[in-house]
Amino acid sequence: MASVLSTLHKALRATWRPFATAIVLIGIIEAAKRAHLLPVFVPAPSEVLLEIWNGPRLVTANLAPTAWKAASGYFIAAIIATAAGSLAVSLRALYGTIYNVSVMINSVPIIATAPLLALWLGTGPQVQIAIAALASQFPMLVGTMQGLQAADSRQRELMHVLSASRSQTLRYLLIPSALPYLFAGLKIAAPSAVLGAITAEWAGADRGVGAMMLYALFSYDTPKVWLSVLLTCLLAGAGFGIWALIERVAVYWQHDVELAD
Amino acid sequence: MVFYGRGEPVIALEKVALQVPAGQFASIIGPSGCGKSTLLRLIADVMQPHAGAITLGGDTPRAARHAHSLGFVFQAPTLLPWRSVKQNIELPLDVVGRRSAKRSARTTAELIELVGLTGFEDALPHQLSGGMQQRVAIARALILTPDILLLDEPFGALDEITRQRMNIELLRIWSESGTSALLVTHSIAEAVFMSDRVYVMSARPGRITTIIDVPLERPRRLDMMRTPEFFECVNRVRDGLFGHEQIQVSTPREPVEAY
Amino acid sequence: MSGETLTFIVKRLTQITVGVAVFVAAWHLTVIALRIPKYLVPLPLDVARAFQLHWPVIASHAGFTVSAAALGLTASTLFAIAVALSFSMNRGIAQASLPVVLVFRSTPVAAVAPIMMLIFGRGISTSMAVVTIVSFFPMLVNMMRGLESADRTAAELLHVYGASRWQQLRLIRIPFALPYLFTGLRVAGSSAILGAMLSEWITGTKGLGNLILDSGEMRETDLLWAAVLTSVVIALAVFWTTSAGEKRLLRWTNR
Repeated sequence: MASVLSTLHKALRATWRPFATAIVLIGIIEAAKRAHLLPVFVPAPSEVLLEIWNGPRLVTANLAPTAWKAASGYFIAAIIATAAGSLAVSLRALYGTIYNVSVMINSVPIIATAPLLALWLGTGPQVQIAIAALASQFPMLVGTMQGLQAADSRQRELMHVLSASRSQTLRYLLIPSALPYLFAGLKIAAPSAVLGAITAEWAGADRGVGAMMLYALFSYDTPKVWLSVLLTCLLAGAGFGIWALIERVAVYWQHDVELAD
Repeated sequence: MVFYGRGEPVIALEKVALQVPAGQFASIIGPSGCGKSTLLRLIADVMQPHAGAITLGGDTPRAARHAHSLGFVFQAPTLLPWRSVKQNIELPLDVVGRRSAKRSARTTAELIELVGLTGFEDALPHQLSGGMQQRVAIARALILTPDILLLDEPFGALDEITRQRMNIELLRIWSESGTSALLVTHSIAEAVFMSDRVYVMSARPGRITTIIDVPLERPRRLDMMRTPEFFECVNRVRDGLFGHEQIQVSTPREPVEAY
Repeated sequence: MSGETLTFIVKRLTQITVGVAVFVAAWHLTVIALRIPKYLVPLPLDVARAFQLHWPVIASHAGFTVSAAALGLTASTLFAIAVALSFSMNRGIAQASLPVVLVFRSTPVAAVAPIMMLIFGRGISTSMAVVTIVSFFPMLVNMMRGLESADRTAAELLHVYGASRWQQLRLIRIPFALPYLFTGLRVAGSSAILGAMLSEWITGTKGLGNLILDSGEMRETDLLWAAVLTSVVIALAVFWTTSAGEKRLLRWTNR
């Protein structure tokens, strides 16, 4: 518990400056808008806030569906990707195939998959969940595969010299050394799931941040458009941030890890 | 011991025999590629020999490894980065299962004190210097009170000053623990300073060419490195390493070949 | 064109043709063998017929998408070159602009597109603007690397001869930077096409993105698949030409 608090504390200390800058920036924009210095398509921050104030239900009614759709897709992908990654590493013969399939799925654009999935799965949240899963699987797979191979030969030799069994080696060496890479993958995949879900909503959904965006655009409701953009970034950032926080606590011994492509 | 790779098979070690009496400290020294690391790994059952036998106090290496009578210190400390000092030292205990760890293993606290790291029990490896990490590795190798301590150039990555200090430390730890020790090194001074006996190896194929007994008294002190006796041993080792070709040509002294 | 390039192209085309033939055959067989209903996956023949029937529509929509992407890419390349040049001339500007540049890195299409639509309305200019923004960062990074990559000794040589800054630029730095231009285009190319199509989704302008969406809604499966295939082919074509250009130029640098 203490380590979680100290992590939060550290995170706050590291991020207060950008936050402060953002608040100052918002203040400047507000002032400029009041003075009629800004073009029509940039709303006053106060207007955007007013949107939330006047219709908090609207925000939550749209934020919630997108959030759970993205989360569902994300977790489905996580389970499949970690399973596939573990399989790929333990059965060398499947390694190339699994990796290539993942790359191919990753390269097919949402443009193509969304309408096709709509055709196959019918209308409803399942299309967005599926796309969120498809959009986020690749980093998770790469993270799993890299992670499970991360233990270097010296460490494996150590386990051998200590006469450790296979399951002991897995538990004491392979899994802990995989964690940095695994979390890096999970971290990167979270925004992808959110953005995938929102983009998929553009192709036809009646509720969600993406739908809200479309509706606002059609009614030329500038503050609402900016609000939906803000919500998009917040949701994507929150996904990333939550995992980053979990990572700091779980992988307490390392700095950032870069995933190779 | 033959390695098969591309091209010709490489005979890494041929006709090597050495005996380390119990409780003694021996070194193996030789040029790069002479197979000294391979030899150590054969003893530790990391590799298996193609011919010949290795016995450790009557056991085969595999039996010794399973009985945990071996302690191995690698060239790099190879600590698990997510475990604290205390947890790293106790890794062998976790693997073996604390209840079945034979003999009263030294307590972790004793070992931490022995290697001089009191106060650092909860530190993570990345917070320690290279020398400190190696000390943790040594403590880890000792936790199951092994009969034999195998060290593969453990101080190679350290600077000269730290290295000499670590040598003293290791000798102190070794004498207090009562194990036999076999050290692989490429430093002549280290080999002579630490050991009761130095085995000199040559390369391709790897074999032991000279055996030198070091009669210096224990406990060793750094100022012994200035004595004529020390220099004499060093020179004999040096001859063993570099001079034996000349020996063959100039003087009819037979190279001491182990059988 | 040299004979070497000619043989290369011929070889490539043969590979592609064979690959396509295999793919089409496999597609046909799978649909028949697994008895996939037509509304889920059409037969290659049906898709081909859709192409034949609707070719003008597909072509014009594709044209819109490709132009939006191309114009957007051109704009972002020009911006990127300008910015990269100014960065290389003056360290201070580079340091100060770094945070702004990083914003471009992380903005996703989903967030950029609506705002661009607010600014530019429903036309093709929105798609262009989105493409420009989305491809700016990769182009900038590559142009910066390109300008830095000039061989140090070559630059020193010119300096010894008293070459002016402009001459250095022209004779050394631009030729060295050229391969990186293509690298950037390769990286940014497919996401440009994607970005253009996604923008079309929300703006409703003509383009492959909308063709896909509309045919999906109208349940015209054959046309849908035809449009999707077209977009994939275009993306692949962009990728291949830029990679080929990149490789060709790379031959005379020592990267």
